Amino acid sequence: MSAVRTLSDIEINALADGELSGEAAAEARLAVAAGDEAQRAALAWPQELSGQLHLAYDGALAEALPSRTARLFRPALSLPLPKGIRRFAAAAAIAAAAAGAGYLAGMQSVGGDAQGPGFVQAALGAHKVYASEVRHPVEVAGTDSEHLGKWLSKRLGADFEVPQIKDAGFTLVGGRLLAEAARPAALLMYEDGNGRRVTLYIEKGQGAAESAMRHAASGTLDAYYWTNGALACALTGELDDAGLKLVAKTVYAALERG
Amino acid sequence: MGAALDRSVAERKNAIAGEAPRLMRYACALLRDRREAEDLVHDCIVRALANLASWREDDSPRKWLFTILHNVHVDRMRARARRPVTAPLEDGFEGVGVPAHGADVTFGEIDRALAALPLEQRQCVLLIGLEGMGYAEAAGMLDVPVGTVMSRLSRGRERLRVLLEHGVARPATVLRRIK
Repeated sequence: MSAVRTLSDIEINALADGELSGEAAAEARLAVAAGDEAQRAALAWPQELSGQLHLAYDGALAEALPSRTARLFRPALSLPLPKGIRRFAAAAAIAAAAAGAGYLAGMQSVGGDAQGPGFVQAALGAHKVYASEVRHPVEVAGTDSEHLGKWLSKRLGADFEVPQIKDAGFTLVGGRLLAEAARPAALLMYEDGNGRRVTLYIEKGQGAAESAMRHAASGTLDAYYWTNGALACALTGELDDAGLKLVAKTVYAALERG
Repeated sequence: MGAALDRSVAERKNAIAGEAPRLMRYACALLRDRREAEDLVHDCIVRALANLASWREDDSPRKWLFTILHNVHVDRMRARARRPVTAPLEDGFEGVGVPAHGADVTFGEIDRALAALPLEQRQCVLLIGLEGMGYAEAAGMLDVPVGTVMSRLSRGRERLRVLLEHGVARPATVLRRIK
């Protein structure tokens, strides 16, 4: 039997990295076993080094991206995408932010797949921005709700009357027109006796069939949403679940009556 | 066509977002400077998002993104080389410990040892030893033959072993008080 040859450093590394085929690996392992202590140490080193590298740098995996980088994934940004793709970028970015990448967009990740369609994300976002506004929560006050309804219906291109939900304990504060991905959308705001606010987001329906009422969440915010042929609606708030659902049902019923 | 394209763009963006932490880890280890690393990853993601269509279906997101990161890094170094007066030295330090100038985070001994490796060796050690790439994958990403990766890796690892064993990675000058 021929003497077992001494392996080169390159071969030892390849063996340690699992880059040798079965037969070559077996032969190399035999050679290391028959070799001196230095060879065995050399075979163990790559893994030991990897361990040290992970220890030193894995911390970076858990850190959030700098905000300017995270912003790149946000929908509002217009990126120089190829023409064919550009028009879908906004919707795609919302989807990207929704699934798994929530932390990148600076949002709290949402449990399960309760994200809902794009308009629900818009509704949650609008609520976050406007419901906390103290001095100018709305563009048009709710004192003349008939005028508000006519104005928003006209801009959305979809007829609806501003729902009154006093039965659920909420009075109308007013409303505003939103521009969501270049489409008009309406945001109506309601407040209860304790100053808690809910918002109703309305877009023109895309002709989709009527859907059941569904639930979505983002952080501490919850939304109930539904569509019918004419409207896509989402009611958003920070109430307890049963409370918000009750308000949503009241809104739904009021819109159906209207 | 809209829906299919829409989904694929969303998936691609998702994949980029999912891969971002690893890009950051690699950049931190490669540059040993938090701000430099953040700049590099930022530029890489900008370029990736602008070139979504260039991502071939058979490329893994990781390979595609690390290749972009590598290319951006090369471009940044070239841009730097054109302004040599302000360019911080990046490579060619044999045996000289270059401290992480980020200064907010200290990765310790291993970081100083890495600093002493030529860039090419550092890339190979990190892609394979930290990112877990195979030789062929790393070679494709760096656009060099597999044999080149193997020799750089082997030399880099050996050098790190010596540096860490003998503490050569410490700052070269040690002043002693003489009574």
